[in-house]
Amino acid sequence: MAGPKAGTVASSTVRPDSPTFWKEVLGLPGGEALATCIQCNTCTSSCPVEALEPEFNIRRLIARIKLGLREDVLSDEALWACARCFACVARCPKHVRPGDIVEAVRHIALGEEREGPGPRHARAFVESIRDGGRIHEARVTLESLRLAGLLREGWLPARMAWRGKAPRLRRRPLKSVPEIRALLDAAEEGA
Amino acid sequence: MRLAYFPGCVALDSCRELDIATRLVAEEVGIELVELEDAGCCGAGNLQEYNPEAALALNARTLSMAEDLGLDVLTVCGTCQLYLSRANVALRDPETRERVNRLLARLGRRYGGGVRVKHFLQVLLEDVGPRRLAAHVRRPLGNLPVAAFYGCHLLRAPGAAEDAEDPRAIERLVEVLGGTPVTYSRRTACCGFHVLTVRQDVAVKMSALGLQEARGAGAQALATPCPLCHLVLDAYQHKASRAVGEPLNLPVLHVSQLVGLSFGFDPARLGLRRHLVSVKPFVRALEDTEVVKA
Amino acid sequence: MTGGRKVGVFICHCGGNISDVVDVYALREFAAKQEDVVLATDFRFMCSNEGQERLQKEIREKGLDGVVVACCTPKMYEDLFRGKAGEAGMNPYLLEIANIREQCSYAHGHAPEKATEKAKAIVKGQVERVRQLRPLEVKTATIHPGVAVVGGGIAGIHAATLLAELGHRVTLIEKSPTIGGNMARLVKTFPTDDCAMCTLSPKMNEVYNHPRVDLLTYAEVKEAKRSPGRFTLVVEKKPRYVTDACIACNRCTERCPVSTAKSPIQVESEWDVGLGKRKAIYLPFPQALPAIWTIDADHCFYFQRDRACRICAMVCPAKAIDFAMKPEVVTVEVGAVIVATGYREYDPTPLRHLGFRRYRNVVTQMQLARMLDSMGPTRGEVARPSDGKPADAIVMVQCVGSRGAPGDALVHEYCSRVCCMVAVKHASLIKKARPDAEVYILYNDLRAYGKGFEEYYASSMGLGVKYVRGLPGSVRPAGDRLVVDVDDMLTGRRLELPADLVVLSAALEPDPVDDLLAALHLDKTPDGFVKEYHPKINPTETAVKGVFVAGCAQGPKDITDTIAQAGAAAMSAAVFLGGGEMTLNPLVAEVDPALCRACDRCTEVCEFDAVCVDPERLVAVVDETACEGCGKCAVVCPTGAMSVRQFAKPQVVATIDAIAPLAVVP
Repeated sequence: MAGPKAGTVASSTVRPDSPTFWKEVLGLPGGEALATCIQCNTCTSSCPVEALEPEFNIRRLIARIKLGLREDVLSDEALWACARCFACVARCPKHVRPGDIVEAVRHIALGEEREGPGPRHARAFVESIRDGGRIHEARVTLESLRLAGLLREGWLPARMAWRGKAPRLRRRPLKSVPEIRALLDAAEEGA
Repeated sequence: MRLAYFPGCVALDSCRELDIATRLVAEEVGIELVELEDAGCCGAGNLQEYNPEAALALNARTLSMAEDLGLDVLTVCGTCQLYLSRANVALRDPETRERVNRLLARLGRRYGGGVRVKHFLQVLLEDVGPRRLAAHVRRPLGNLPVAAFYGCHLLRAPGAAEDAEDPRAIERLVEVLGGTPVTYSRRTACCGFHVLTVRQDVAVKMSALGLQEARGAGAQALATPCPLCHLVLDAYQHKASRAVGEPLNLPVLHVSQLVGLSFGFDPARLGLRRHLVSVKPFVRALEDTEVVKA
Repeated sequence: MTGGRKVGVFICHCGGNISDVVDVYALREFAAKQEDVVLATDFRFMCSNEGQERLQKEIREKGLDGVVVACCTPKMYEDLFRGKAGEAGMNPYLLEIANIREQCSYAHGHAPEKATEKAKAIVKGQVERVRQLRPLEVKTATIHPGVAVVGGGIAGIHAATLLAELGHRVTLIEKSPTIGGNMARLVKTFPTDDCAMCTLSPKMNEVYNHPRVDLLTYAEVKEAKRSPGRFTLVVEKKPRYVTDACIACNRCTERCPVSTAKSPIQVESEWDVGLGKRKAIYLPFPQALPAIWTIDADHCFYFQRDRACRICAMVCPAKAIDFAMKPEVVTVEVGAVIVATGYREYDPTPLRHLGFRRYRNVVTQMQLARMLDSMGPTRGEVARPSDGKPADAIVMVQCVGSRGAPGDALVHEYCSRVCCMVAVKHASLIKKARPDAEVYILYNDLRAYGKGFEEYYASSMGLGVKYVRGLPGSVRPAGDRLVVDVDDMLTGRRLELPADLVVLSAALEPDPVDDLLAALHLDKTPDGFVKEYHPKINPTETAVKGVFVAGCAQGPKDITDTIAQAGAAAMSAAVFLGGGEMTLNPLVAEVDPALCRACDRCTEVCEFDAVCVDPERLVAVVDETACEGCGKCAVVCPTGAMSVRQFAKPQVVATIDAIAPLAVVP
């Protein structure tokens, strides 16, 4: 985020910038049941991420979507902290499927080519499928973490290599990669 | 029994020992694995987020490959199980299936909706069954306390037979293999794998809480049915130890490896050396127990 | 029969509800042009006194013999307008409603022009229909005296007492061995902390001793037959195996070996909701009425172990034990029935994350109520069922089984209304008795909507009850205690609350009485409760004339509301019975003997036994007093001999032919 301009006071207030944001999410796979949320908080109380990182609050995410805080939601890096455990989906008494709503919102963020570690990882992952049919772990890890991130791993890569545990540096793509790529392209066109 | 084997990406890459152990165990109990060599990734949530339709189509393609063989799909990964069976449920809707089939038609494929997706753990307990399984046990786990780490996705996959809040499958399996199951409340917790690259701090703490509780409950090893859980719990355990401020030192076994050990397979063949947390103490304790069957 | 009719069309604005969407003036011009229409007019509120007078005036002055009122749904005012038309000298059954509100202006507010076209089609359809109608004769039937009240909880007790006081003969039918219902378990009632039994017991005694009340306990309605003005209920009285000679000395219970420490037969007490045990011969609770003991044959050694034990018979000083007692069938003939079958507490077992039946120290509010009773299983102490130790930390969870997703078979979609105040009450009682105990209420929306409720809620905060906004994710064991994981929206903190006792505020759900409802031909609303005639303006009557509903059978409610509704149901029943006579619906099936082939298809489908074949003339005959006019017989009749009055084929076709050319494409 850009720093405040000279002469202005940084304020943490937000304004609803998209009154129909909820409908946008409602129309995506995973977002269908958004409207019936009664904010009972069973989702957040079930969330193992929120217990460690309160910035990711799934109930509040739903409230923000319903209120129309589009930019606030999409620019929030915490959106990418969901670990997809789906405890919220299993326990939500209203069958709102909160974890699937995260999927829908991330879809919008990816469509807008948002930046950050989350979108970068998702794109690296998808690129890896396009290129090899399956995941090339070494490459996805490198592209997601970048060199700096990899260095922060310290000796772990070396230890893994020593144990023969390291992901392969080169992976042969599936024979059917052209087929898979054609399928992904076709799905993209259709969407 | 024949099954269309979908190893997934990680069991063929950093967790190759899972693939190896699974093949050995399957052969031993008389399951013929027909590998879906050309099947693509399940999407693991990332493709689903990027393009839900593409993810559905890619999984429909995998399912159609099994359908062509007339076989059900076998997975060895919680995440593969979740996303393949989620796709399978979505494809039960005739309209959705028709729409996806129009995409598959470009590859000359079609999915009729007649395939089931099963995880190896379920196959061992339900299709092979405790009695036949026990008959193969040559080196019972000797009352060694083993705790389960289920992973979210296996429990939350549509059609899961287990009670997601109170599962018993791995505990039952440990008992069948002659071990002592250790229960603790975080056996259904999340390992954090899916935020490992984006929020490693969170993922490591999540796995640390589970490891710590299991160790506190007296477990000498964890058994997990998911290679993604395994990666976090094993390869990142040193970081988890740092997070909780004490050495955790808890070996983590793939369910297939645990079964293989009890079948009397050589630990080296099961790829136990590839683990970062040494399994040696556990194996030694196991070897000290008497071999009851030749 | 067309031609020569004088039809009047009255178009209602409904104060804008219709006229803001439908162009009523264009509709009036259109109506005026229809064949046989001699008058087309519009009015701001047809249901007003002025509107009704206008209708009557025009009928008299113009000599109308057909009327279409274009207004709201016929469920609202069809009866009213027909009655007024009848007073003005027209046959009431020549009046029809054209529903241009619910089926037009409400539905198509966004497209006024199309709505107007649709309104025209609806009106024309009804005009053509009215031109085809025949005047019908209205018959009456005598109403049998007496009322049956099904359910002996507070609703049934109150309704029965009021009706008996008014001079009616009342039969009160209760399926358990005692009257009193759920209220008898409640210990205290909100918002006054009155002792539940102290307020209930006098009412139980009053109804029990009332000379005009016949009480049938341990009895269930097995069959109900309806004929005009009369319900015949077949009631089965289960054998108590204890006669009226019982002197309530309790010696039998003291000596009964069931549920003793070494007994192979153990019975959970229904009264204590599974927290305690009871003997096979028992009185449910000390104030139970009638004060006659009951043997539970399913758990008695005499019945289960081949007459192995007769201790109760041996110790009984009154010789009141009769093992040979048989079920008894009683036939009750009455003119009206009040359904007051009440509720039961939802079983939270399917909500696995909350741990009910996984952990012993997870209980329901009803179980906690029993603990709070000084006569209860813990003698008034709030204790852990696992070891009987006092519970120092109690966590209550709201909305358990309530406010769920639509269509979820495991939970209810509705709000159970009372659970918020039940939790506030129990929390307050605990804090008053033991200020050092910690009580948390985990809620989503706290609904304190009744008289005195808000004050009661506020006072609980003064007692130190802690409110956490948010429902929990899980309940898990930690040592010999439990831990509740919940994120508190108010503090923004993720809490781990240690608990000795987790109390689930489980939903209220209707006591399952499907057989009774089927026997009486009563419908349910989608939530499973008895469907009232109108949820707002007529919540005590049902669609079946002479059957009324009161209390939680109709929907979740507290005692105050239950008493109010029971009083209203008694009043409605009294008004109904008071006339001594009821008009019969003439819109029933009739047979054209010339076409009938006596094939018996109509008799096979009739749910009301209203059709039979006359063996001599070999034609079907309709019992007009039993027929409900549902039309099933008309549908299956292969020759067209059977029809429902005013719904004969030409009458229905006239409407369709009129509407079809005007069909509006959305």
